[in-house]
Amino acid sequence: MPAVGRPALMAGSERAGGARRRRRRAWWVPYACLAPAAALLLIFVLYPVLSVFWYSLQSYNPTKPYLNAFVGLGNFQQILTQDPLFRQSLWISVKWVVCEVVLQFCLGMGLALILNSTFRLRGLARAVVFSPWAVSGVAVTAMWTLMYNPFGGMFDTILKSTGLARTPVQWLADTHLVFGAAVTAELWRGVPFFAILLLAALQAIPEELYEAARVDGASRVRAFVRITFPLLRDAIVLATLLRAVWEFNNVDVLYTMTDGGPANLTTTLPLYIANQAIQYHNFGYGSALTVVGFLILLCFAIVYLRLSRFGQEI
Amino acid sequence: MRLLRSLGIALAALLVVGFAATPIAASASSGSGQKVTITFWDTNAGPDRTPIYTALIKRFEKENPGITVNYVGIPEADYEQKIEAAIASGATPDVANPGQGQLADFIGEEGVQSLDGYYKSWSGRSQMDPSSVKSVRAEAPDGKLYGLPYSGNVDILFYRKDWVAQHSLPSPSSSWSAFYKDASALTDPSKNVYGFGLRGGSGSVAQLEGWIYAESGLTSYFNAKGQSTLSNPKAIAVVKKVVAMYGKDTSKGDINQTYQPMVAEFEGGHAAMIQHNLGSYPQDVQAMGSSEVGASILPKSAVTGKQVIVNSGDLVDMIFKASKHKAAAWKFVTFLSSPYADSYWNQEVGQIPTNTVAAKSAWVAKNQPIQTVEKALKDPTTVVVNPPVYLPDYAPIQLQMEPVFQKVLLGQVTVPSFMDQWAGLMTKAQQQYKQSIKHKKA
Repeated sequence: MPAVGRPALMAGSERAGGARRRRRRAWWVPYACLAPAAALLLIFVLYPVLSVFWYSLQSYNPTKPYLNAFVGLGNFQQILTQDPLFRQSLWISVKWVVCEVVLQFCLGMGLALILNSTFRLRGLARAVVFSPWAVSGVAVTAMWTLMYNPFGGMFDTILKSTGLARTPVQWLADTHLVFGAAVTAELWRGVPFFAILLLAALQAIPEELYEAARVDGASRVRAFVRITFPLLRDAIVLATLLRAVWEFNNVDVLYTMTDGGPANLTTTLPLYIANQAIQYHNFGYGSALTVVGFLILLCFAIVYLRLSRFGQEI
Repeated sequence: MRLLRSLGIALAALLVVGFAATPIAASASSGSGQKVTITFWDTNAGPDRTPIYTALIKRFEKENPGITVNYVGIPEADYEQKIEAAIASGATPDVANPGQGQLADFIGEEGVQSLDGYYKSWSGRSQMDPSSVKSVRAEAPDGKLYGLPYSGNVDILFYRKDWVAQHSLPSPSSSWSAFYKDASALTDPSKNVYGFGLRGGSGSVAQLEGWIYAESGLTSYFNAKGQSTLSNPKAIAVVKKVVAMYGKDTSKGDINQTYQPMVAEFEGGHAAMIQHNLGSYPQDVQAMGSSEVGASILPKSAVTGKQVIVNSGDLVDMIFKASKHKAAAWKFVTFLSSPYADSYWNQEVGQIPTNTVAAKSAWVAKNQPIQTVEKALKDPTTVVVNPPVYLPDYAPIQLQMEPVFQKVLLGQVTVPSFMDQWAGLMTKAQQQYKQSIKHKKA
């Protein structure tokens, strides 16, 4: 055997051995890498979700252990047949989501179109428009509650100085105004979300399409309807779906601004759940309400994505 | 790539070491017996009260060099939820200072340590107000002591003494008819000034209770049959008067009003009178001056002629069952109820000390609202009504009834219907509680 052939043979067998080792290692290394994330998901996502489903079948109140028992679907039966507050809070949630998503989308779209055009100080304008998104819900409440203050708040001062109102307007106490007042505060915070997302999508539309449309004599409106809107469809569907889910689950602004009042007029389903579980200690019933809310959102998401043909070719 | 891998390995190692080190560190501190750290959750933390505890803890640590107190301040609105989560997860602190109303819940959740063993051998127990200790004991179905009281409280009528004098009106604390007359006379909507600042939001029903029993003269929450007295016609008549004031002698915005805006309404000159507990007094005096603030217990009942005072419940210090340093925790709890600490804390907050030595401090004699309470308590005809804070459902029922009370103010629900619903829930809670005790004994 030539001397030079030995190292070559060894090198060849080492390569083969290395490949075998890599293959041997290959089957478990990815699982090991995924294991920590999977464990965290199991502990912090799957377990709480399953425990909510389990508690929804119980009458569970930690302050009254003598009444705790398995009740099967009893909680759901009570929710669907004997709980007028569930129906009321669900209706308020639906109104809240529709008002917020529609208004935020319309205003966000308008702002995105403006910010997509070229003008002086555009960077500053973008920063100003996006800034409310960085404000926390509690801070939004603090700011708007001050503006709504009937004794010297911003709106009170404006209305009085312009002679539009003689007596203080009770924005958060008047049953006809409170919902609109809360919607406005949340609207202020939510519009930038749509503006940011739609602006990003607008910037991805090739300019050549608009040039071609101009050459063909299309007006601005026609270009918007025929080019912009269809190409924004997936972004709009995703943004409205995400926002609808977030707004449905929104608690911070309403909880801190109105606490669901007066007389439950701003009590949405999540607020009602929080009251049942946390304030009244009815964790079993609160869990059942959570399951119902989860199923409603799940059905909504499936139907919405189907109807909007999300991800399909235009 | 190599750098990323190295970082990943380092992070994983750190996590493993971190997890492994936690029990080692915990066992070292608990097993040494030298220096002990206890954790204290203050359930009403804020710029007014946190400095009081900071000063007291400093003194305690000086007197007890082997014990360090880790102070954790929790906003009042969140504490019940946080303690319940801590009990459920077994991650409680050593000591907390809840209200008596919430203590019953924590006892029900089996998270609180009975203090009887410590209390029996404590030299300071002779200084404790026996009625306070009895009241805390009555909260537990087994009659054991689960908290050491450190502060008493009752509802007070705060009013603008200067305005009453300017309008030559009778003192609103002299009678209920004078109160209603003053509320009407001091109302001037054109100036955004109202005779009374009503608490219509969170805490409204708890406050309404004090008013109902004081004005109606009813002396018990339940009758001999165990039925709630809230649906008694005398109680209904009182609530009808309260509701009639809304929007006339009060601002319409009061429907959402919680404690802080209510006090701000009074201190800002938009309300001539408010009802709140003793704790508001120092703040009111600081904001407005003692010559302007009048403070007295609620007037005598015109129906029965009796002075009825609803005990707002003591504040207590409790030790958690899961505490690993119960002896140190007990030392801290007894320090907080000692003559010095009890006097200092209550003087700063304006409430009644539960340590009888502290209650004889010079400042107590100079505190006007406390003096009106003391005077009334010395009157043998005065009746002190203890709310059923032992009921796990007591506080949740109050919360549940708050939106219904708002509906009453808006005219969407009638007063009798509201009171019947409220009384029904209270009666049911009382029956369930009695059954649970029977069940336990059996």
